[in-house]
This record gives sequence, C-alpha cells and structure tokens, in this order.
Amino acid sequence: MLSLLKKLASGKKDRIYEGTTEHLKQFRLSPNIGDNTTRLLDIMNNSFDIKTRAFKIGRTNTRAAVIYISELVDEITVNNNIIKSLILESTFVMDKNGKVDLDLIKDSMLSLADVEETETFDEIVLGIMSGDTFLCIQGFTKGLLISARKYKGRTVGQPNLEPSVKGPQEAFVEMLSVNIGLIRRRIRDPNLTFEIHKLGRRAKADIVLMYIKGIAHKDLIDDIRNKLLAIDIDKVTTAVEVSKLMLDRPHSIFPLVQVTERPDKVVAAMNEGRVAMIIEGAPDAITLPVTLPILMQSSDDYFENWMAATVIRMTRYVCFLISVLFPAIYISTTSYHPGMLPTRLVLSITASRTGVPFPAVLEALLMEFTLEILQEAGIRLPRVVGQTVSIVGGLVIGQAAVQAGVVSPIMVIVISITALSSFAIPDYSLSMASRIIRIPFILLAVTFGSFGIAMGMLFLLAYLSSLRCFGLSYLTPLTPFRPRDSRDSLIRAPLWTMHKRPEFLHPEDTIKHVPPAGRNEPNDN
Amino acid sequence: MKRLILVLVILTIPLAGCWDRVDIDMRGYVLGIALDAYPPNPIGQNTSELEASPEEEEPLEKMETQAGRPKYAMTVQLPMLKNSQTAGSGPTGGGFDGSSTWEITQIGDSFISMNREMATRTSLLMYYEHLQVIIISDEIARQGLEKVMDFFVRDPEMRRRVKIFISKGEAKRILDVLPRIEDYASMYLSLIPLNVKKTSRMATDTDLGELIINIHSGLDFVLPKVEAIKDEIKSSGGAAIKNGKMVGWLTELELEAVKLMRNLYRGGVITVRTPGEEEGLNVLEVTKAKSTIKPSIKDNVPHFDIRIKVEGNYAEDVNIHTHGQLDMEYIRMLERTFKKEIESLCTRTIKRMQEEYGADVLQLKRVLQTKAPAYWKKIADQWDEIYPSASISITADVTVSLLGLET
Amino acid sequence: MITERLSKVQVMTITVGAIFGVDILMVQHYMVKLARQDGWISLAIGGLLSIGFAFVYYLLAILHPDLDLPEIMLKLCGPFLGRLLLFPIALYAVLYAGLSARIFAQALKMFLLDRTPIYAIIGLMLVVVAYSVYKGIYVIGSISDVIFPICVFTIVSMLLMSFQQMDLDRLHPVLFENTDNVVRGIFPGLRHFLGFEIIAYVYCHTYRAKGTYKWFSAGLLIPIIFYVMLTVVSIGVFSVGSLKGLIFPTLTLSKSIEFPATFLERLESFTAVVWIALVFESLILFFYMSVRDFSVLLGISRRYDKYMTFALIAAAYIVSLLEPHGIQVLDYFLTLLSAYTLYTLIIIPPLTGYALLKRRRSKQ
Repeated sequence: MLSLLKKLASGKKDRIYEGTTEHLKQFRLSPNIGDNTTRLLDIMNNSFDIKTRAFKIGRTNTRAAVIYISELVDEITVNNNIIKSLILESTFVMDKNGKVDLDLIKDSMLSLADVEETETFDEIVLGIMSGDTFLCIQGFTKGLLISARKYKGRTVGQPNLEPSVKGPQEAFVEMLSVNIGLIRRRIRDPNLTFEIHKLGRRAKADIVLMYIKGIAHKDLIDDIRNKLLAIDIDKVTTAVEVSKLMLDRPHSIFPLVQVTERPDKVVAAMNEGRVAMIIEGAPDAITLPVTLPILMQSSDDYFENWMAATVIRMTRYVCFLISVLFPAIYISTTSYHPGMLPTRLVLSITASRTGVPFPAVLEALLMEFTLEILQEAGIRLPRVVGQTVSIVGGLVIGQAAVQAGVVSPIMVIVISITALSSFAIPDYSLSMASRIIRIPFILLAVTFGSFGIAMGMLFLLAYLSSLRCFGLSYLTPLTPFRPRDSRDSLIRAPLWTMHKRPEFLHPEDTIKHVPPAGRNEPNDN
Repeated sequence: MKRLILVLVILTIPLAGCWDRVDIDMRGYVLGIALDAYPPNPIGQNTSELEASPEEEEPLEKMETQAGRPKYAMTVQLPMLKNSQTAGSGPTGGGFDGSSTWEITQIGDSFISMNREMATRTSLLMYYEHLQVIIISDEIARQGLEKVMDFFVRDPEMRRRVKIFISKGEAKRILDVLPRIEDYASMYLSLIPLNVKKTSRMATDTDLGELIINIHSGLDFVLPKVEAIKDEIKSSGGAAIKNGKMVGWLTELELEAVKLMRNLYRGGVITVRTPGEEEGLNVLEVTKAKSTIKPSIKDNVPHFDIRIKVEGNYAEDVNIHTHGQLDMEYIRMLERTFKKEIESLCTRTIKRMQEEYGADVLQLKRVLQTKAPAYWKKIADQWDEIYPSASISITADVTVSLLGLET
Repeated sequence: MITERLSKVQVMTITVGAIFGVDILMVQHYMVKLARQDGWISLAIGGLLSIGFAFVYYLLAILHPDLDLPEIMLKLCGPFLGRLLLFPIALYAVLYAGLSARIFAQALKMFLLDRTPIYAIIGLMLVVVAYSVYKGIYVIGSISDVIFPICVFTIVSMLLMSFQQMDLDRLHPVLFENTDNVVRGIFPGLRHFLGFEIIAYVYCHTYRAKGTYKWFSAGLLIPIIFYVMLTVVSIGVFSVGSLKGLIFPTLTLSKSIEFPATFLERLESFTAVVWIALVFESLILFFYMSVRDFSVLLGISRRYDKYMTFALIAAAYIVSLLEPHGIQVLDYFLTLLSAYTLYTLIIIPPLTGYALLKRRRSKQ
C-alpha cells in the first residue's frame, strides 16, 4: 500500500496530465469573450451538450456569453434568472458611459444563491463540468460561475440491500446533495461537520467527509483526512473504492469499512464517534473505522427488546460460523470421525450416500460451485427472469441431482443451510468473505479432519486479530476485551446500560444518554 | 508474496495427503462383536449348527495362522443398509434373505489378525467407533477375560462405553437374533440396560471402561448375562468374574442382592409374602437405595458391616385386601417384612459367593484398600484365602414413603 | 494513532495460556505414577510453590518496566555473562516448543488421525504458529483472549460431566504411607506449571497499571485449580491402576463422556479442538519467548526480531522430528522440564535479589 503510494508520488513529477484541468491554470480569461468561448469549447472538445449563448447586455454593445452543459443545469433558471435579467433589466448596472460593472451584476442582479468570480480556465472548466453556468462579459478578465444545477436522479427510495423490519425506510440516492440532506435532517447539531474534497484527477468527484465535531476523536479525523488527501487516482465511482486506497491492509478479505445505504446507520455511526464518507454519484456511504462486531450489528437490533435482539445477534454469529465451517465440519465428521455422530445418524447418512459416485469433498465442492453460480446468476439476471433461476436452481437441479444419484440428499441439506446462513450476515462484504474462506476450510478438513479445521480456525483468529482499521483492532471489543463496550457486541444489552459511547473509539464526549434522575431502570428496551 | 506461498501451501496439502480420509460409505460400522471359543465346546451346549466340521462348510472362516493355533471365533455384525428400515429411501427390494445385518465369522489366534483377515472378505473398512456391544461366550469367559480383552482395550477406536455381556452358550447366536422393532440385534441389546431404572435384575455399569478398571485393580465383578431365542433377547442375572475368569452364574435375585450391597441399585421391586396370609404378597417399588460398607478388624479377621437404606413406594398387593388397613402400624409391619426379606436375600447371596464361587463381587477388597489400608497391606497376598471366611453382617433399613393410593 | 498495550485481562489469559501446555493431556498420568492416589496433593503443593516462584519473575519485571527478561539479564549481568546465562533459557524455549509439538502430534495421531504422518501434523501446526508469532505480541494477546473463555468453558463442562462417572472411593486412602512419594512428587508437580515466566516477557507491553498483579495471580491460580481438578477427576473415573496405563488420560476422559440418545453423543472431537487451541497457544507463547531470547542473544533489534521466527520454527521442526521413538520423546520432555526448572530456580531468584539491591543502592 505504502509502496504503491510512493510509486504514485514519485511518478507524479514527470507525468503530463493531458486532458485534465491542472495545466489550464496558466491560462487566464482574455477580455475578448469570443476568444474565451472558442478556447473553452476547444478544451471541451466541442461536445454537443455544451451550450453557448452569446447576447448583449441591456441594449448596449457590451457582449456577454453563458456557457453551460445543457443536461446539468436548469435551463429555465438560466434563462429566467441570468439571460433574461441581463438582457432586459440591466440598465442600472451600467455607469454613465454605458460600461458594465461586474460586481454590480454579481451582487445585485443575479438572483441565484451561488455565484463566484473566477479568472483561470481550470476553475471555469471544472465549474462547467460540475454543472455551473459560466458567464463572461466582454472587456473583463473575470467571469462568473453561477450555480443553477439541476440533476435528474432517482427519488429517495427504500433500502434494497439492508432492509429492516422497523425504523426508517429511506436509502441514499446517487445525488450527493440529497444524501447530505438526509443526514442533516437527522441531526440538528451545528457540530455535524461536512468537509468537501474533490477526488480524482479526471473525475473530480465531490467526496464528503462527515463527522460530529466533539465526538469523533481529532486524531482519527486527521488521520482519515490525510490519507484521503494523499490519494491520487483519476476516477473513483464509490466511496468503497476510496476506502480501499486508504486502508493499511488493502488485501484483507474481511471488509474493513462499513458500506451502507441507510442514512440512519451513518448517523448512528457518527453519533458513536466514527467518521463517514459519501461520494457524489454513488448511493452508499462508508463509515470508518469498523470492527467485526460492528459489521454484525443491524438497525433492527435497536428497535427490539434487548433479549430478543441478543438472541438474534448471537444467531447471526452462529450463522457466520456455519457459513464458514459447515461443509468443512460435515466432511471432517463423515470422512474422518464418523464416531462423533450418533450411530443411527451415521447409518442414515451412510444409507443416503450409498451409490453416490464422488467422495464427499468433490460433492461439496461441486455443490458449492453450483451455489456460487446460482447466486451470481441471480444477481446478474434481469429481475423479470430472476424467479426462473431460483426455480431451476433450487428445485430442478437439487431434486434432479439427488434423484440421479450425483449428490446425496444430505449434502444438499448441508449446502442449503450454509447458503442460508451466509444470507443472515448483515454485511454483504462480510458474507462474501465467509463464502470465500469456506473453500480453504473444506480443503483443510479433507486433509486433516477436525485438526485441520481447528488449525484453520486458529489461523483465522490470528488473521482477524492482526487486522487493524485506522489503528483499531478488528475484534474490538471482544479482544482486547472491554467489558463496557462488549455490551453491544456479541450481545445487545439494554439501552439504558449503554449510556456511554464505545470507549474503543476514544470519543471526546463520552456520555450518550443520561438516565432520568431517580429512575435507574427505565423501559425494558 | 508471503500470502501467495501460504495459499500454495494450503492448496498443495490436499494433493499431497488426505492420509486418513475414508468416505462415510466406505466404512463398515461394526455394531456388535461376539467372541466364541473354537472349536466350540460340545459339553452341554446347543451346537447343532456347528456340529458338522466348519472347515468343510465354510472354509472362508478359517485363516492361516502365523503362530499358535486357532482358538477363537470372532463374529462381527455389520449393518446392511439397503435392507434396513431406517435407510428409508434406498433402493427397495430385499437382499438374499431379507436380513438387515451381515454377520462375518472369523476363526483365528489373535483378535487383531482376525480383524485384519476380515478385510480380505469385505469391501469395507472395519470401523469400531460405533460398536455397541461385545458378547463373550461363557466358555471364553471361563478361560479368562483378560486374555481376550487386550485388543479391545488397546484399540483407540474402541469406546469405553461399549457394553459387555456374557452369553450362555454360543455368543454368535445373540447377534443372529432378528429383533422385531429394531434392525440390529446389537443396537437392541445395547439399549436394554437403559431399563435398569425399572428392574433390578439386570446388571448396571458394565461397560468396557469399567471392566478395564476392574481388571487393572484386580477386583472381582459381575457381568450381565444374555440369552436369546430366535427373535428375542433377554438380559438378566449375571456372571461372577473372579481374577478375570468367570466362575459361575448369578441368578436374577442374587444379582439384585449384589446390586443392593454394592450401591448400584437404580430401581426395581421387592416382593414379600404377607405375614400371616397364605397367598398374600406385598410389593415395594424401590425409589432409592443406598448402601455403605464399613470394615472393622478384630484379631486379624476382617468384619464387614453392610448397611442398606431402602426407600420406596408401596406398589401392589396380591391376593389380599388392604383397604382400610393402611395405617402406620401396618406400614411398620410391612417395613419389617421387607427388611427381613432383603437381609435374608443378601445373606444367602453372600454365602453362595463366598463358599461356592469365592468371588469377591462386593469388592470388599477395595473397601479394605481404601478404608483399612494398614490391614490390607498385611494381608494383601492372602486375600483369596481370607475372603471366604470373612464375616459379613447385613442391616437393612426400609422406609415405605408413599402408599400407592388407589385412584 | 492509538498506542497499543496489553490489557490486564490479557495478562491473565496469556499467563494461563503459557502455563497450560501439552502437559494438560498427561499431567495426571505422571502424578499418579509418582504418588499414586495422592498425586493431586503433590500437584497442588507444587502449584502453590509455583506461585511464589512466579512472583519472583514478576518482581524482576516490575523493577525493569521497559525491558523483557533477556534484556534484563543482559542489563544486570553484562553482555557476556548475561548472554551465557540466557543461552540455556533460549535453548529451552525452542526445545520445549519442538518437543511439545511432537507429543501433541502423537496424541492426535493416536486419537484422531491414525495414518497422517507426524511431519505433516507438526508442519501444519508450525505454519500457523509462525504466522501468529510473526504478527507480534498484540496479536498473540488477542488470540489468548479469545481462546481463554472457550477453553475454560470446555474444561469446566468436561469436568462437570465426568463427575457422574466418578467414584470418590478411588481417591482413598489419603496420605496413607505415601507421604514420601507425595513429597517426592512436589518438584515434578511444580515443573508442570512452568510458563509463568512469560510475565517477564510481556510486562513491558502492558499498561503497567497497579492492579496487574491481581490478574497475574488469577492467571496462575486457574491452571492450578484445573490441573488438580483434572487429576482428582481422572483418578476418580479411571482408578490409579488404569491411569498408569493411559498416556493421555485427558483425551481418554473426554472420549469416555457420552450422553446416550442426544445429538452430541460423543464430544471428543469438539474437545479435541480445544486441546489443539490450548497447545497452540502455549506454542506461540514459547516461540515468542524464544524469539525474544535469541534476538537479544544475537543483538537483533526489536523491529526485526519477527524475522527470527522463521529460523526458530525451522529449528523446532527439526527438533520435533529427530527422535523416532514416541515414548522416548515423553522422557526427553520431562527431563527438559526438570532441568529447566532447576536452572531457573538457581538463576532467577539471585538475579531478582541483585536487581532489588541495585535498586536500593541507586535510591540511596
């Protein structure tokens, strides 16, 4: 990771950034707007969506022009609030000589919120590309970037990947401004800070770093910001990609960031002292730093009674283990230690396996492979035919394979339970990780039986505890064990016992909840 | 790079190894073992099936021995899953005789070699972790258990919870039984001792582990007896083992007495004749029985004081009517009668053990070892001579706690 | 960003992990061999003595809160004498790791993997050990943190389930004409509790908070209680006579637990996983110690000492495969334990005394 950055940094000096805006810094606006527009169109390669409208200000001879990208701006606003007012109502911005005053135009004429003066072409090009409208007036070496953006995107919908039974049902959309609104609406705290950075040499996407000042630890914010600013890449699509470039352990198969499409999750994370990031154009935010227990939490946990939530959360951990280990355990018990099973079970498994031509391993790998095909096909297929996959996969293949004697029915059960368990893991990347490490476990089980599985588990344990996410051990608070924080890890203690923010994030403001005086044990949830 | 090497290592292991992997359907799950003497002893046994020379009839059973002559016949029971009821969905259509088990008999000199010789006759790998019972014929038991048990003790596949039975007559016959509610005779037999809370006429705690401990500590003990007819098995009574050799049978009642005295009683009934009534019987269902043995030494002769505390519910009366009589006095009377019965049963049993068998089935030896170690040290070598003359007194204490009220 | 330290709980779990070793599989066997049914008494006394000895190490560690044992030795005795004294300790850790890997592989071979060659079993185990040690002390701390509750739970439930098979009469007579043997068994009892010296290696990585000694004592007591209980239960279940014939009674014990007619009819493959975890943990801790020892011996700085791991793993692998006879390995193992116990008993207390004296002098 470091070496990669170093390489990038060292290569930077002698690389020419053709096509990006860096080198445009040297060009300044000329007083001649004709030159300016041709140059701009030239830079942007005369793309058809770039609209230029030249006109004269208020019946004088002072020429002006607006340049914008038609699909990114609200053309009605541009017409009504810029072009129309300049053409029709601009007499009072002229002095006696008929000269136009740019400051007056900016301050008194353009009834739009966001207007900026610019001089250099890099700013202008970037502005136009971001959806601003550029106004330049004959005779001035300054122009105005006026924000009249309008971006047609999805409306806020329901979360698809992280549905929940109760609680808010809003999900992020592709529009940054909408997303920011979704968050801001949930915390009316002036300390909720949004830092905007531009990322990507070419894409120049807006990336927003969000945290609550006074809760999130300063060092953590600085660390994340520094790493974010050190990234030099031409384009990123999602915040996850960004995080991959920031982490100390980029090879980790376990997700070291939490990706979420739920604004309430992001808010909850920030409220614990974590930092979130969201990028323009992607409907998901990431939160940092993250630990395995955090990934196993789900919003629903906090809407239910604590006992129910605890049981469900523990079930989830068991599901994780099943998803990783079950085929391996099946192979090791049947092929190595059938003595472990009750006699009758052994006999019925044996009876169901007689006639199956493959050894259990091959059978397991075959089924595993089929399962992966089904999952992948299920995602790729258009939703209309999606149903077919489940019918063909689940019923036809399963049933037919058993009847043809290719696989034993018990193996179908094993693989199905494994697959189901992997879906019970709340974080998709984590569930993906569990699917991947299943294979080495199967191989270990087939070579060494339960000893192999044990060694695999220990290796996994060593691996997991060696993972660090911004200095935070991945298994916190299970290990290093923090009794207070572990109330929200394997179990979910009643909310009134968790009146402090997690210690492991070193929040600056530690108290989350002050129980009403004289009432130590309020509601049961 | 590091990771790559690791992945390569992990990937190559399965290619290199899988040393112990045997698929579940490639193993033969031995459910029961029967050990018989060879050639079968003709005295008083039903040997009609084996009367003809086994060499001519089933030459496969014989093996070439390396040293020693064939002395034992070992029969293992394997399940035939395609014929069993539990297999369910397997291809239907019975085997050649509809039996759900296959008994393979092998004759040879040592058990491990017999075991290996069987591998020449089956396609399966013999696997003993699911062994349910070991049945030993009384003839072998009389020759000495220690000699034959060594293989079973050493083999790590053997479980210490395997049940041991002594069969009256040929042991193989027990495995041949076709139980009506179970596919496998061995499984059926191994489940019978679970009823020990209902009846006291069956021996308890007689698994391989216990047997090993007893043999290692040089103690005498009782193993359960098992008998069979064509489709039924019965396990009651026991075989007294002295110095690792069977010395004789215990009747059901004697076994009950031994269990009472050795604190092994788990439940059962005691029946007495109603005093003063010709035909009347009273039955006590024992819920709790506890015994303590206290040794005392007088003039270099050990004396054992055995106290048995029995608690039970009055369960049944036969041929008499107790309506209206169930008062304290009557209960006292019953308690006295039960007490007498227990004491006399125990005394009779001990007497037979001491005089006829000389077997210390009460494990008085251990009582001395643990509670009078100084004395034991002196007489350790002469215990076999001292035991038959040791004086033993028995006191029973019966409480009838609940009267079986008629509903 | 956040400086890492070992927590107090980890002091306990690491201590427990270092003391538990492959001995947990066979401690009863040897104690019964030495002192028959009173073996547990020797073991208990030996254990209590070991607490005293452990606190000598603890004292040495808190006198030098920034150094670990090999560095302390070099500092106190000078570079030459210090290295000379350190060398046997360093050698011990490697030999111990190699031999216990071998013994454990033998036990596994006997109970789980009949035909798998020993080199493969040890090989796999050492690969994972190497990975963990390479990752450093904090990862080791985390591993011990996770393994600890699982092991405690398993051992306790195994003991509880064995109670019903136990016959307390088999522990009688207590101390009858056996006092000599009991006394003779104390030193061998003590050596089974070795491993507490880990405190001198990890103390410099802890928060050095005031209550650390409490957790350390808890870490010493837990193995003592478990070993003694295990011995008592094993005698009660197997009797002295047959215990003498069982090389790995703990494994046999876990194998003889059965619940009829339940799914978990036979637990031993599950418990085997726990034994594997325990032995694994003691292996990584001993490797950690030897890595530190050898790094200091050869003057390698802390930043690079993790590369030492690979050399030592190779050495231990060779050690573990040298002797072809299984029984002989057990003898070597016990001899090694005794020799090391004697050596440290001679070396460490005077060293601590010297350190104390030096401290007092410098204060004056």
